[in-house]
Amino acid sequence: MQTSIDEVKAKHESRLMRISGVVSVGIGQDAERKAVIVIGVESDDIRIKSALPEELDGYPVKIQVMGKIRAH
Amino acid sequence: MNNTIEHARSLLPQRVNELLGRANVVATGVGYKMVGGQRTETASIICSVEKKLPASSLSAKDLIPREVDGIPTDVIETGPIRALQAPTGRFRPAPGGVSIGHKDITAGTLGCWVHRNGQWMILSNNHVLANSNDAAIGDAILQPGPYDGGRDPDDQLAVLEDFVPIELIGAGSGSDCKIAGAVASLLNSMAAMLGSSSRLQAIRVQAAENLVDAAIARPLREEDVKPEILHIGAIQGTVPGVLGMAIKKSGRTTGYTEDEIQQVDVTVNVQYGTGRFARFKDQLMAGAMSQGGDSGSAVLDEQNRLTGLLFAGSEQSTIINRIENVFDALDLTL
Repeated sequence: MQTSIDEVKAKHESRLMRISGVVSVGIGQDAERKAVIVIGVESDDIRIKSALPEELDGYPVKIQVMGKIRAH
Repeated sequence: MNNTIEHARSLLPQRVNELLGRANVVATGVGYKMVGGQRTETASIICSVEKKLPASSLSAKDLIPREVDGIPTDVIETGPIRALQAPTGRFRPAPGGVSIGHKDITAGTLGCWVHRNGQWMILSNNHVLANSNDAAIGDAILQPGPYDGGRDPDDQLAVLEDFVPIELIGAGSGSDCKIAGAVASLLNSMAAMLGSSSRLQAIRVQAAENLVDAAIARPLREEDVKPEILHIGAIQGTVPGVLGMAIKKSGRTTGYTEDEIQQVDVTVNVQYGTGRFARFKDQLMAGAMSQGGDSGSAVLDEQNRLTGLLFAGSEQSTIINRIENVFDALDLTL
């Protein structure tokens, strides 16, 4: 049985959150409403993006610029 | 040229008092007459009424004439029209969606009214009602919040009843990675000088994972409770948030906004002031539907079912606690 996207996300999450510039990891959707792993980054910086994977254990990764997330 | 909009506009001012004097009429204006839900090309004088009533139940003097000086009339039902009060104002009784805050903060949003042990409670964030862990139970909660002119004791609405502490990381938070590291290395260098074989491990401070930024406050007076949310109305149950769900909120700063849940299962680092942050897991994420001061807003689906508690965001995002986690942590019900 294939590993679920939740399990894959859970497995890689703490490593991803330790990368400088990464602010969030979650489950989102692509344009076709298919589940993807979304990595939120603080800024549109090529150095952060180049340190991130394009897929994780077969699941697509979407990188999204979030800015600084603050308590509102 | 009698039937033009311009003609109706020039005529209306002479007849407006007479029309507004009729029972039930709340507004008059000029527009195209609607027939069977379709706009026609006929200019008309539109009378807005609180409620459409059968002609038989109205006295002759309250009936709206079919036409006024040759211009046809149209009657539409708008309900009562009220001035929209800014959410930063003082509200008694106080609904959800308005400004609130602990006496030592700026201002956030009163999310909604909930129950604990049969008692009405205000639900909002820890950083709104409990000053990010720095408050004492029983502290004054002001409506509006201090930034919006709320003063203690004149504007006190409630007292802090309970909050879920937030595990903060960074300067002045008590579990500082840098300080822990520095202490360990100092102790290690002392151990080295003493020739000890058992060197101390640097204390590895893990980012503790929070689920909610939540607190409740107990109202001083039962008559100040208004169990509905500004621009939304009464809550109709709760529902777990799922990907793609249409959501809405009513908040102190940006008022009523809508969006959809774009991510679930979100783990996120959130800044609390300068140099402090907290890690949250199992969060919902939406797009830019909030700004500073909207913290504490209740998040609902299209059927007015409560799904989350808004607490953070950026230019591009809004972060929301799951309401299941909030209710579990503070033992709440609707």
